[in-house]
Amino acid sequence: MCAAPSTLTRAGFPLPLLARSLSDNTPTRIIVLNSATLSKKSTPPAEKDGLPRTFTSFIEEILRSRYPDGKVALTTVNLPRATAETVVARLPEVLEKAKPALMIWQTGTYDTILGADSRAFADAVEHGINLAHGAGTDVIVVGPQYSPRTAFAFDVAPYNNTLRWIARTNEVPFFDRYDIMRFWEQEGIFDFDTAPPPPSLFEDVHRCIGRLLVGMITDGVDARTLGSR
Amino acid sequence: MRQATAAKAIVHEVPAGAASSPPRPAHPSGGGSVPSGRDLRLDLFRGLALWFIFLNHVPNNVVNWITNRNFGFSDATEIFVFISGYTAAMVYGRQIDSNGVMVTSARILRRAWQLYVAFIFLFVIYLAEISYVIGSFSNPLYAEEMGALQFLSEPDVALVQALMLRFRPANMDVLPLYIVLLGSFPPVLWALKKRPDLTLAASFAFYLLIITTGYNLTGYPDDRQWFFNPFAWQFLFVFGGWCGLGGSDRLGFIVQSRAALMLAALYLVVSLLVVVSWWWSPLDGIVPPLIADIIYPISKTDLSPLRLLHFLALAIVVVRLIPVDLPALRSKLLRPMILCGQNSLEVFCFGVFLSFAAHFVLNEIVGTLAMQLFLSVIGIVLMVGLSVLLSWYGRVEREIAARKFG
Repeated sequence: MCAAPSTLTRAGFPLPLLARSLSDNTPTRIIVLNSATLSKKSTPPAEKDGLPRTFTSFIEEILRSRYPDGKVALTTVNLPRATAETVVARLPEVLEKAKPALMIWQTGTYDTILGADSRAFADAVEHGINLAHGAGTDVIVVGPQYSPRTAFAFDVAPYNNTLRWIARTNEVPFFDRYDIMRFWEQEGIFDFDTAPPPPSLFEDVHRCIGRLLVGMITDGVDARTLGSR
Repeated sequence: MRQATAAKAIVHEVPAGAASSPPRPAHPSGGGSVPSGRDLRLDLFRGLALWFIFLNHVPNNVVNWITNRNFGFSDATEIFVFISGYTAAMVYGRQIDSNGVMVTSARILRRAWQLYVAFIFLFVIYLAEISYVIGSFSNPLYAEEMGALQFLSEPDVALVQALMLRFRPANMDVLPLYIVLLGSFPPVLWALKKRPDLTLAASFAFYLLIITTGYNLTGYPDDRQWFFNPFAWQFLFVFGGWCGLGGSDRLGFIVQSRAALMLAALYLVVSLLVVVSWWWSPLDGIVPPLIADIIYPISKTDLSPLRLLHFLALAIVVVRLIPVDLPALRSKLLRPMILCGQNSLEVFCFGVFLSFAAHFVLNEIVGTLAMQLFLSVIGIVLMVGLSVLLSWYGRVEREIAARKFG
């Protein structure tokens, strides 16, 4: 169900710092930089705590079972309604505090909504990646999601292309959430524009994203011998 | 041989048009007539740009892969802005000669006003679609995106911001740019007539200042910037105007030089490889990282020099490949595209409306590949239909006016 073409799920670049942290006996800290807003109002009422599970919580669960000796500890840093530029301004402080081996950086959504200058956006993302590398942290960049209903109001493509390019030139894996979700819709795996949406849609999609992201992490960890930073 | 003919034609086309075409009373840049000596290539490529803009504005449409943005740094916007500057200067420049600066300025401002009203009209349609989406579609997966559409909770602010051109929906960005460019055109045209080279140089200096400082107008909500920075894009409009007032003749020696053609073609090929490598994995890594660092990102907002150069290179190659007197330009096959280019305002606005409608159908009814193809073709057919109607109506009105006064 969570299948996607390997061109979209391969890491493409190694994650040597994370690999080292997983193989030695120290705790492996991972942070997820998340700029999404989850309004309580819009979540399904069936949920016990009012909030559905996001891909972040799935990642932690799957990684722990995958690397039982890795002592994986995952923290989500929520910066709602933050552009890449805003996030980068806070980044040194966040990295200093968490000292993570891997930073999963979800970005681009709010920049798309704002129509932020693509040059400033690209500079910010590149700067953020460099900051993380400087702090001994590997990076995976996660792009904005595919949202067919609001596509006429927000054009994700330029920001997604920028992310793909910046990730490639800075040799970090890019999780192309947009293309993966489009693939799911084209293959009929998920339907993103039915109204009302199936109650389990949110969690199913996030579970799949979590699985594929862990696949990408594993790929990057296993590729450590192929190159080192 | 053909190149020599083309050069001659370029030298003669503007003065010939200026001498033979009577000033038209209304809709000067889009009345639908084909004055003798009018360079049909302008209409042809503006028509093509309008088709591309429509196709690009239908979200998730497979057909927009054929548009030029996937094959080079620049896209349809550059073509549209340059040709709009060219034709505006050519048509209004003639009117300054025959009717004076004040009357012509008033006509330009009336045109800008028409664009403004069209923008507000399209904005209302946009609001209707947003209201529908918000009202009919609640999906927790898209809390973020839907939340961003909640500006409608304060419609008074949203409407006033739109009236002030500060709130510009994504697909309508070209229109506010065009309004600002045309609204400020009277003094620019006057300066272009008096001191063309100095005006062009001033415009270019201003462009350089803007791309170094990144200064831009702010908008609504959240102080977002103008997607098309008018201070940067003005240069392409003014350059179009400069060419339209005879500058292109003086550039003939560059356009006709073999070295320029080779350089332009080389630049187009390099740009093609770079852009294709962004989306076609077999070309992955073809751009050396050092060069990639220098060229990327390419700002559309500030009209990156790479985009500008790409447009100029494209123009040189196209002018050489398609001489002004090419018989094919008068063929029935290209007529639909030319007619669209001749009614650019109406066809552009109709295209924005059609892209909203197509998005609606793709989401609400069926979004299959076949449907995307069908809607793309139907959209273009409807745009052509409108331009045929407008041209016919313009011709009838002119005939009536001619009988009355002639």
